[in-house]
Order: sequence, then C-alpha cells, then structure tokens
Amino acid sequence: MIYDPSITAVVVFFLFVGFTVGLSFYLGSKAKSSAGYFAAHGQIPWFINGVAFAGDYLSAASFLGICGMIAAYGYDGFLYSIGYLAGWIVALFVIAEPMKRLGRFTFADALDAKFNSRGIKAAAGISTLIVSVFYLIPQMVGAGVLIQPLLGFPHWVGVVLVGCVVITIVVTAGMVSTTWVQFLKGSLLVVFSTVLVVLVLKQGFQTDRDAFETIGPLDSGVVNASGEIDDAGRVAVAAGRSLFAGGDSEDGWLNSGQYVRFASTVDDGFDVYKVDVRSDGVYLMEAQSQTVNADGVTLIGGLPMGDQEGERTLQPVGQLSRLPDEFSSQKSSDGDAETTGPLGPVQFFDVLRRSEVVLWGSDRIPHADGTVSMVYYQKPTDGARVLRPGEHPTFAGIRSGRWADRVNFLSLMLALFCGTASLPHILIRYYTVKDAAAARKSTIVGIASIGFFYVLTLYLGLGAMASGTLDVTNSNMAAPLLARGISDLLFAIISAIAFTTVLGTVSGLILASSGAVAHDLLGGVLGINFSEGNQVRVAKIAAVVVGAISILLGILFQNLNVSYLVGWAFSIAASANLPALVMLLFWKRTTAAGIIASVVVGMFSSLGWILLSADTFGKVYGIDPASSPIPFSQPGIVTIPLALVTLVVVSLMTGKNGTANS
Amino acid sequence: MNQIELASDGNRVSGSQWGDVLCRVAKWGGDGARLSNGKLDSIPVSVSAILFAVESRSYVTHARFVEKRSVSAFVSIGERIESPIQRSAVVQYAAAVVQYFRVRRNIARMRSKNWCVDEQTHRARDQLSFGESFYFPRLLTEELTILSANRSESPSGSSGLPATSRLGLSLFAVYTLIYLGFVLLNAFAADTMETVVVAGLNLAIVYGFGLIIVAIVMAFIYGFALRGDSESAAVDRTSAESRDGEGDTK
Repeated sequence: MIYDPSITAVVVFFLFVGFTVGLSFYLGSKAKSSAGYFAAHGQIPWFINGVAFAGDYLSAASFLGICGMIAAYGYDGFLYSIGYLAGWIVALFVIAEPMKRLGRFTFADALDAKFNSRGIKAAAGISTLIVSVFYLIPQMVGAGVLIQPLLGFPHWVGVVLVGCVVITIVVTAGMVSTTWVQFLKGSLLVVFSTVLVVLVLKQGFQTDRDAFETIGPLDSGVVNASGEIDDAGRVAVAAGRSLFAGGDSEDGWLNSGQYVRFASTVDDGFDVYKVDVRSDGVYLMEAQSQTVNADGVTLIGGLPMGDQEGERTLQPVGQLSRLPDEFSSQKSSDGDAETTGPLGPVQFFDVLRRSEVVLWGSDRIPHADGTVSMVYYQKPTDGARVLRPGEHPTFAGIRSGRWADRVNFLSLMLALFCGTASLPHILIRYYTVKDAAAARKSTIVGIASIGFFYVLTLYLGLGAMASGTLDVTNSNMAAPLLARGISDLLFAIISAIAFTTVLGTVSGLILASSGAVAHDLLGGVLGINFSEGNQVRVAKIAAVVVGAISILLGILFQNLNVSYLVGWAFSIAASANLPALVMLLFWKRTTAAGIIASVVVGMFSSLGWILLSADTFGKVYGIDPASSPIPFSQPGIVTIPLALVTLVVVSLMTGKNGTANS
Repeated sequence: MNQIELASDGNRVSGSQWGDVLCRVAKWGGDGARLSNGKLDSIPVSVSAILFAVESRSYVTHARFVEKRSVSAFVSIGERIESPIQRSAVVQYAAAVVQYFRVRRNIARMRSKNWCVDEQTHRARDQLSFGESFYFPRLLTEELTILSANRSESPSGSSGLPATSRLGLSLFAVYTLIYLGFVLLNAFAADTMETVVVAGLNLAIVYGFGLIIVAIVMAFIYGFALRGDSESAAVDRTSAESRDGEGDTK
C-alpha cells in the first residue's frame, strides 16, 4: 500500500514529542542524584506509577503486533494478550512488594540484597542488558515501520528520530521524565483505543463482496485431479479473459499451478487469480501480486508501484463476505452492501461468529532470475474459525496432534506468564514509589489499565479484520489503518500514539540498561566508586551508548521479521531472572552461588535453545527449519525449571559457605 | 553525598536513601550509630545491603519527620568521612543498630504483656536472618532464638509468611490454576474452545475475557483487603499494638 503522510498526524506527533522533551528538560533538575535519576527519588504517586506501568509495558508488540495478528488470523493474537496480562498476577502477588523492599535502583540490587556478591551483580547486569536489547530491537524497527506511513520518511529516519528523542528524554531527567512520558502514553493509548472501539461497535459490520472479483463457477475440467491448472489457455477461454503475455522474466508463474494471470482490461498490467475448487465447480478468486525485479523496482501486477497513471498499488483488504441471515434485508446507505448497524460488545462476537470473513494468505513464486513474486490471495473463512485458537502458524500446532507442537504452545504460555515479572525495565518501576504499599497499589492500577486495554485489542483486531483498510503486506498497521477507515483525525492521533508507544517503552528499556551498566557492572562488579554526580553522569553516557547501539540495530534489522524477539526477551527473562528472584524470597537456603548459577544457566540455556530452534533456523538464518536439533522452539518449559533446579542444587552444595565465599 | 539535600528541606527529609537512613538512625538508634563509627573496618560494605537493611524492614513512618537537630549529628558523621565506601559502611551499621534497638524494644514489650507473639516472632526471625548477614549483636540472636522456640504456642499455627503474603499467594495459586486450565484446554482440547457457552460467545472468548477480568477483580480484592495496610501500618503494627493493647490485627 502507499500511505499519504498526514499533516494532522505529523502535528499531533510533534506536539507530543515537543511536550515530552520540554517536560524532560523542566524535570531535569530532579535527576541530579542517583536516587533521582534511577528511581525518581521514590516520589512518584502510586496512581501515576500504575498508569506508567501500562505505558512501559504496552509496547509496539502489544499495540501494533497483537492487533495486527488478530486482524490477520483472528483469536490467536488474543492468546498473547491473555499471557501478557496473566504475568502481572505474578508481579502483584509474588514480586511487587518484596521487590520494592529489597532493591534500590536496578533488578540486580534486589537479587543481591542479602549477599553483596559481585557475581550476582554481574550475572543480573548482563541478563538485564541481553533482555533489554532483545526487547529494544523490535521497538526500534517498529519505529521505522511506523514513520513511513506517518511522516513519509524512510525507515532509518524513524529509527534515528525515536532514538534521539528517547536519549534526550532519558538523559535529561532519567526516571522522572521517563515516568511522565510513560504515563502520558499509557493514558492516551487506553483512552483513544476505547474511543476507537466505541466507534467500531457503533459502525458495526457490513459486507463487501465486490472489492475483489470472483469468476465462476467454471467447468471442473479446467483443472486436473489435483486441482491445479495444466492449461492456462483453457482457463482463460472458460473465464472469457485473455492470458497476460508480458513479464517473460517471471517464469515462475508458469509452474505455479494454482495461479493464472489475465491481461488487465484497464491498464497494461495483469490480474492474478487463484484457483478455488468447490463442489459446484471451479472458481477463480482475484489475488494481488508484488514483485521486486532485478533492477530493484517494485512491480504490482506487472506495473511499477505508485499512484500515478501507469502505476499500481496493492489494494486495502479486510472484508466480510457474508453476514447472518437476519441482516440480509439491512442495506448500507449506498444500497450495495448488507450492514448490521450498531452492535453491542457481546453481539459483536456473536454476529462475527455467524458471518464469513475474507482472510488473506500469501505464497512465494520464485523465478529463474532469482527474483520472487509474492502473491496475496483470499481465504474465505467461517467466522467461528477466526474466533477460535489455532489458526496462526505459531499456534496451529495445537490442532496438529503432535506432542512437540503442544509442548511448544505450553512453553510459550509459561514464558508469557513468568516473563512479565522478570523484565528489568518493568521491575525498576517498583523503585519509583515511596514504599511497598504504593508498589502494590500501582501494580493494581497497572493491571486494571493493561487488562482493560487487552480486552480492547480483540475488538480492535477483529474490527480491523472487517474494516476494508488493511495492508496485505503488513498486518502491524492494522490498528492505525482501522482508525483511518473511520476518521483521518483519529488516524492521526492513533498513529501518533503508536509512535509514542515506542518512545515510552524504549525510554524504560534504555534506562534499565544504563542502570545495569553504571550501577551494576561498573559500580558493583568492577568496584568503581562513583560519587553521586559521577554515577549519574556515567549512567547518562551509558544511556547514550545503549541508545546509539539500539539505533544501529534498528537500522540493521529493518528487513528482518523481528516481532518474535519480544517473545525471546520474555523467555530469557523468565528463565534467567524469575527462578532466582522467587527462590530468594521463598527459600531461605538460597545462596549467592545458587543465584549466580541459576541466572547464568537460565540465560544461556534459553538463549542457546532459541538460537538452535526451528523458528530461528527458518526466520533468521534462512535455512531449513527441519534441520534444527531442537524439538520445539519455545524454551521456557525446559529452561525455567532447569534454572530452578540449578539454583536448588548449587545452593545445597554450597550452603552457607557458598554465601560467604561468593 | 547528600547532606545538602538533607538539610535543605527543613524538617521533612526527602531525597536520597542516604538521607532516609540517617533520619531513621537519628530517630531510633542515634547512640548506636555513633558507636558504629569506630567499627568501620569490620563491616562489609554494600550499598544494596544497606537498602535491604532499611527498606526490607521499612522503619520509615516515624523517621519521615525528624528534628533538624537530630539529623545534624549524623550529617556531621557523614561529613567527616570522605570515602563513599566508608560512608556506606556507617549507614549500613547504623541501620543494623536501628533494627537491633527496635526489635529488642518490641520483644521486651511483648514479654511484659505476655502476648501471643506469633507474627512478631516471624518478623523478628526475618530480622534475625537479615541480621546474621550483618553481624547483629549476639544478644539479639539469643533473644530471638528463645522466642522462636515458643512459636508452637501460637494459636494461628501460621506458615511463617506475613498475612499479606499468604493472601497474595492464595490468590496467586487460584489464578494460576485458572490460567493452567485455559492453557491445557487450548493445548489438548482445542475444539472445545469453539463451544458456544453463552449469548453466542464461544468458550475461547468467555474464558479469555474471564482470565483478564478475574485478574483485575483479584487485584482489586487484594488491594481492598490490604487497604489499611500502608507501609507504616504494616511494619509498625507491633509497636502500635503495644501502645493500644489490642490483639494481632492480621
């Protein structure tokens, strides 16, 4: 799709950025000491801190990723919402108050509270850095992805812009400004998502059967017994169309079997159709194709991508092809489509369950010259299927009957459950309130805000699924595009909020990382005794360095599918941090050596598992996933217990001596 | 060093942990803190340990407001020590002394009133285990050992966790079971999630929304149950009970 930069969006975005940066400079005087820089002097009111939790936690993965996944596949994205929220139960009931009591500035403080061990500081500091970097990369890449439709700038500009703004926020006033940015972002996100959902319900559903052409039924003899096309000319005759004669270099089409290209009747390009064999004959369903040719030019249906004459762009998608019978007599204002009119929050799901949705799949058509055509095709899907788990490739395994796939699912849900309470950038927020009671109250506010938002994600995603505004190449833009389908102003605001979503989360991550470097590694491990002012200065330098690295990684990984890196971060955090933290609180025989061993084993086993998994083989290395030596991709179900057992065994072996010696 | 911050805010101490620690020491253990100055070399130095000492026991209530005069004594100690490490050591020991006096006083009160000391004993035991790491005076250890030996007299027979933790862990266990049921259903009986259970909603949506709503409800229940349990109330309950002659409120 081609996005027109929205002036309103630009204005809204820069207003927000200007306000937050101005606020940061205004608050800068409160961050001259370590307590001020790392923990806002513990003076943040609990309600503000609770909403800031939401601003910190609801990253681009939550807002854009989950809504996009639901829009593209249905209910499966909501499984992430459930898992992400359930993790907060661990945070509230197990971690929140002890964390506040034990620590001071960083996660390592809490873990090392009883022991004064350099080993613990080193292990926890490194763990914080690894988790934060895995979390940072998708945020920065997401910033680049967002900047294109929002401001019309290239990807790298978005990454650099976010990086610079965040570094400014963090360096000027540390946790004070970070908290207020996160509070503003969290508030805006929840409020405007609510507005968007209300408008979606008010609008209801309507059918759109004409957005993409369906030809048929044709005689079943036009395809072979396997349902594939042997003679494209015969299909063209049956359909009353002419085959496309150009694009000789794209020879992969000839062997595709499932696709046929007809010469367009309106321009010099082609229309591609996918074969759909049904009981009453063969149908040809219009698809869309995108090819990057040997010269690097992007072609849509054989024509250069653009919105001028002689150019084409991918059409927005997301339709209902059928509504329940009771709405057959209700027509939209233009009289062509059936419409439901306003729907209640429960009726919304009931109607969708009894409707038919057109989802979109994709295929790769490789050509002899090394170029590849991507084909995006329609998948009419029963509404009941999009409201059940198991449609997304990540979760399809639960219906495969294979134990490894089921264990993979269990492992993912375990990592989500245990990961939240182990994320360093979340844990440091417990130090910004005055006492343990305030930590508890702010967690409750956080759970209410985040839980409410996650309820909204299902409405947003499913609303986008039927909005007719989706980008077939990029489901992450589902929520902003849903807003565009309703109002340009709302699109501008939601886009700006999406962008600031990145700001809030990245600032928390950079702050956690700078604390790990300055406080844990340089101060705690290397034993450099900074004065208050110097420690803050070193932390600010660390923030600039980590910010610069994250900018670099965001640009380097721009073409990589990085959304699953957030899942990696959860798995590593849950394996490395949670067993040690929980056992420190609940098992008196825990020793320093046990904690160090647990963090190290949890961190490296989960990291190693991930790097050797089939997912990584396929998505990162680009090699056959089947060659992975790991039976399933999600490590949590193995590595979390492994870290726990390691802690117990090492603690028993070292006993009190272990504590003292370490 | 934060003496300037400490002194600049009149009677109310805000800002650094160092300031907080000094104030607490000023209120509860002044003599001990001065005493500690001569024992610097024998004390392990750890900023995080100080925070554990202070924050984990959170004797903060009455230390929030202190007389400037009391603070100044400790400011002067800090000013004489140039090394941040040594300053840390002073504070660390000072915090330990605060707890020593505090626990000893509470134990004496409990004994004098012949109270059930169950919860207080737990707290004291926690302080003991903390104290061992920080070379608590042996006297305190002995006193607590005696009290711990009498723990079986406790009518509640509690697990040793504070009541707040027990409530939290109970809610946590309940939610974990509900979450586990959801995950297992999805993993091993995914088809059941398509079952329409109410108002045209399938089990996947009802259970999924249920998990989110239950989490929010449980969080509010937890908050409501502990609504009076501010930091000060929680940690100072012992002394409040001593003054008022009321029973264990948890």
